[in-house]
Amino acid sequence: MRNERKFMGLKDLILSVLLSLLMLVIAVAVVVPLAVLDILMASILSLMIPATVCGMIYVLMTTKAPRIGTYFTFSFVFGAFYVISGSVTTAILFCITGIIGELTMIGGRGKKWRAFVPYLLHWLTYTYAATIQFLFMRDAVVQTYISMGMDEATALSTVDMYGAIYTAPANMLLCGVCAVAASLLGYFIGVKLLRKHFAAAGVA
Amino acid sequence: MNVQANHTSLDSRVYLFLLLAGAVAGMYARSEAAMLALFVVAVAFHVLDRRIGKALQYAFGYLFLWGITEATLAWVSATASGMALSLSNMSMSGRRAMVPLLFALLLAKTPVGSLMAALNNMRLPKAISIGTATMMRFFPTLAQEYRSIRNAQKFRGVGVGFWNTLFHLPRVFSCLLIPLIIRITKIAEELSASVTVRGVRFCGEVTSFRPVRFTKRDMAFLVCGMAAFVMILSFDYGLWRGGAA
Repeated sequence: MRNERKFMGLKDLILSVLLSLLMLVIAVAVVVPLAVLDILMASILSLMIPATVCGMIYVLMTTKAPRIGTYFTFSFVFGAFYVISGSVTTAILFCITGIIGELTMIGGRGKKWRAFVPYLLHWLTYTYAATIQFLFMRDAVVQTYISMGMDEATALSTVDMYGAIYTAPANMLLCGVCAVAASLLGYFIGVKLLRKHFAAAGVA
Repeated sequence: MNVQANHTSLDSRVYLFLLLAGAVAGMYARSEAAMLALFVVAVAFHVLDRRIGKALQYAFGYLFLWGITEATLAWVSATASGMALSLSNMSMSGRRAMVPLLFALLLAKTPVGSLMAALNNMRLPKAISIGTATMMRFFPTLAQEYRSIRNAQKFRGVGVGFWNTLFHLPRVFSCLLIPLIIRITKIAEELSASVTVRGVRFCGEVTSFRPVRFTKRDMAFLVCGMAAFVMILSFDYGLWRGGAA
């Protein structure tokens, strides 16, 4: 009888950290060229592209390390990046998402589609992190723009402009729908590619 | 043999504490002068570590990002362009992140065994020390693997030139990403086998080939760095003039 471990081991930890870092690199690399687009379009695409592309990495990660800690590690790595880039609120949100992700997996480890829930939660956090900041920490955002060298009037008008885009109910709904669609598509592609490429290559 | 004889770097815990302090200070810095002063402190540690060439590169990088911020801010003020604002946000975030990243680069230079032993001495969970050590070493490996795969794909005629890449983007992407994921999975397996062979486990004591000591010199540098951050923020908030600005 096989003695299946419940908590992640050393190998699982290293695999989760490396693959989560790869997902983070993709998410960050995508943002830069999209800066030339309209704010809403850039926000949607900078969510949809990594959510779709990272699905295959996530499916591989959860297939190889389906244990307690993997889902938290995935969100924690993103959180650590946001600590370094100075957004502690977003980092905390990612840590909470990681914990909720782990909780959603109770009793569902090894089930193919249950692992989709933490993935979806992760990208929803990624989507709404900016919205939460504009809704609840408007003054802090204004202060950030003033520290960038903007005069107060420009900073206020800029935050109003951004806030109007990010907190408009229609845009929030659109972003949420896009996050769900991209996560689902990414996860589906991941499941398909797992059999086609990764199992064939002997890594899954 | 004294293995630390040629090792001029400070203890990894100094860099780790300064990394965290730099991230917090960067978050609370309000003016350009404070941001610049924080950056200068971080670069000074690279100079102390005899990495003057690298320090100059970082300085040029900072200047470049500063130039982008200034140019795009003028653009924002004139036209309220979303693109300009996105660029200025990115350049600003990049400069903020440079302070902790410069300490992370110094941390990444520390031998893995010493880093893990130092983190273990801080009574941190093993998962954190192993995860940190893995993260620190990952980016150069990723860059190397990316270059190797890119060269191999170019040899096959995939992703040669800008237009070729643009018109066959999905193909280029899959040809690049799938081998990269497979290679990283293999590296993770090799790495976990390697650390297991070296006796790294979640339980048990961590030892280091190199002596890991937090000396008076380390303490002095840590205190100086922290004091510099506190002073910069104090000036920034006008506390030295008897009240917040």
